[in-house]
Amino acid sequence: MQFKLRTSAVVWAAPVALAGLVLVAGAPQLQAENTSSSQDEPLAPSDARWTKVSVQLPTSPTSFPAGQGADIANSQCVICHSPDMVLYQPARTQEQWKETINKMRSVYGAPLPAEQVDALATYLSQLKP
Amino acid sequence: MKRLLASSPWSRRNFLAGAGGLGVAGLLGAYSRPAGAGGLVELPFANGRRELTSNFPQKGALILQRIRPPLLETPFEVFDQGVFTPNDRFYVRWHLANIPTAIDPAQFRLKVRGHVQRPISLTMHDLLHDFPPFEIAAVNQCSGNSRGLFNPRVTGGQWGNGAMGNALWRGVRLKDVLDRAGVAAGAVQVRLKGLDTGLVPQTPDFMKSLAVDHARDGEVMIAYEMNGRPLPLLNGFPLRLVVPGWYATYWVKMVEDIEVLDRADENYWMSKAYLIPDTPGANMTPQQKGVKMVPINRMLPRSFFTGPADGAAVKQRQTLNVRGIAFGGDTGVAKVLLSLDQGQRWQEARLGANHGKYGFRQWEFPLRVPTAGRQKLMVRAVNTAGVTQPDQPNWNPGGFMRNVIESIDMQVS
Repeated sequence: MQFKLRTSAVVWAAPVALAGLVLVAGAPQLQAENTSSSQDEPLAPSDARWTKVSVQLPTSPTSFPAGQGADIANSQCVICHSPDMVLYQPARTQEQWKETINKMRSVYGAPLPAEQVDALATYLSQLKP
Repeated sequence: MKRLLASSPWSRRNFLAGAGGLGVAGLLGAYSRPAGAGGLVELPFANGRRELTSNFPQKGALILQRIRPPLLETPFEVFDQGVFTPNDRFYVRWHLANIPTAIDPAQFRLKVRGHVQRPISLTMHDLLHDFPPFEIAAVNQCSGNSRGLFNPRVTGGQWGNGAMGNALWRGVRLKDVLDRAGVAAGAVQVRLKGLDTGLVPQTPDFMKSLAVDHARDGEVMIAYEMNGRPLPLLNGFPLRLVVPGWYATYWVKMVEDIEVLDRADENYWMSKAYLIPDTPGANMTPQQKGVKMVPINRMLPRSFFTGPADGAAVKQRQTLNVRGIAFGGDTGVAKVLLSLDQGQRWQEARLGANHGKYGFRQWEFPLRVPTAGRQKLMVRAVNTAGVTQPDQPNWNPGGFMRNVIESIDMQVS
């Protein structure tokens, strides 16, 4: 479980080099790909605009600023979201960040070990907006 | 970026002219503006500098609030360019990062199940041909639009005023789809779920519910088109729920599962998230304890200036086309009013074409520019139910439902 999550973080981190390189493989109005196959219900000609859409979303090129605890943020927070929105939050106390981190753990299932909560909260509370 | 600045009255040249006449950053009001050649936008609150990005598929220049899962804000000058917000400039807001990036409409199925007489699974072909098409113009506004302007500040997406847009939605009525399955007696709510999921198995699926009567009111719909085109993937391709007059949290994107419930939905996104104080205007104080909280619901009226730019330098005795957009919230716009004297007297603006009670309404006011000096303009909308915008901002811990009267400053010389 822990291993699987770390793997997914790596998968997300890996294409960082591609950031900014966004491929729009099929804007729906442009692509004339034939989507019918034996198990699909073919769409009528008038439905041609609802063809297969395939896109690539940019990955996050940013990581958390250096500091004690940044390694926790860079391995844990980024599993589910990029750092930017964290860095855009108003200034918050260590206690307030603890509340948020614990919500991430209890509500969203963040795999952050309990013994790292204090260190991460301290790091986040010292970020300069 | 090029397009953004080229045709807009907020063009860089005009902005620089305006800023030159002002020279004081502190006078900037609640409107985003290009902050320089680097494609930056300065939102009007502390730590409000954001990048403009064109890196998202099927999207033009948008304000980057979060890369993953995407939070993209519409630059405010887009609202000066027309009453409908173009699909490629329409704001984007996702909760969960596991968003399908390839969708084949030929394989896509919309399921209706739960407390129904016969569970059904509909193809795109069914939706396009077996149901009467339904169209409605409606504003989609994030519950937390303008959250960055809350005082004291609250956590969440630190949006300026651009987490909203107006589109002409075309699709099928949710009522017609529910009737095909046959809602069973005793049904209480209708719960909608999209294709997106969290990256951790424990993350609760994003699901939102509406009361059965609301879901069957003939206005709530499932859209397959937005402004005459299939939806951009990031706005919910191939289908999204449209809940006219209600905040966008209910407008479930990539909706694929409709579950009729015989009980009130207790899922996290209904019972714990998106709660507002059950008070007028969702207003309370930061110190207040024990306030009854309820799920966010109907929108409130708002109005905005789209021109001239906040902080603009203008010449005395010219006639200025002051203009903007308004919406009534959960009903139409009755009036848009302007004040030049701190809200003592209000004059009626001329309203643009009416595209339906849930959409944006453009307004304009030919203003004979008065005496030299700093001139503050205020705008407020009154909806057809008589509800108007408050002169003091609301506050709640979620940063929801801001709708205070807006103002801009002009420097008259």
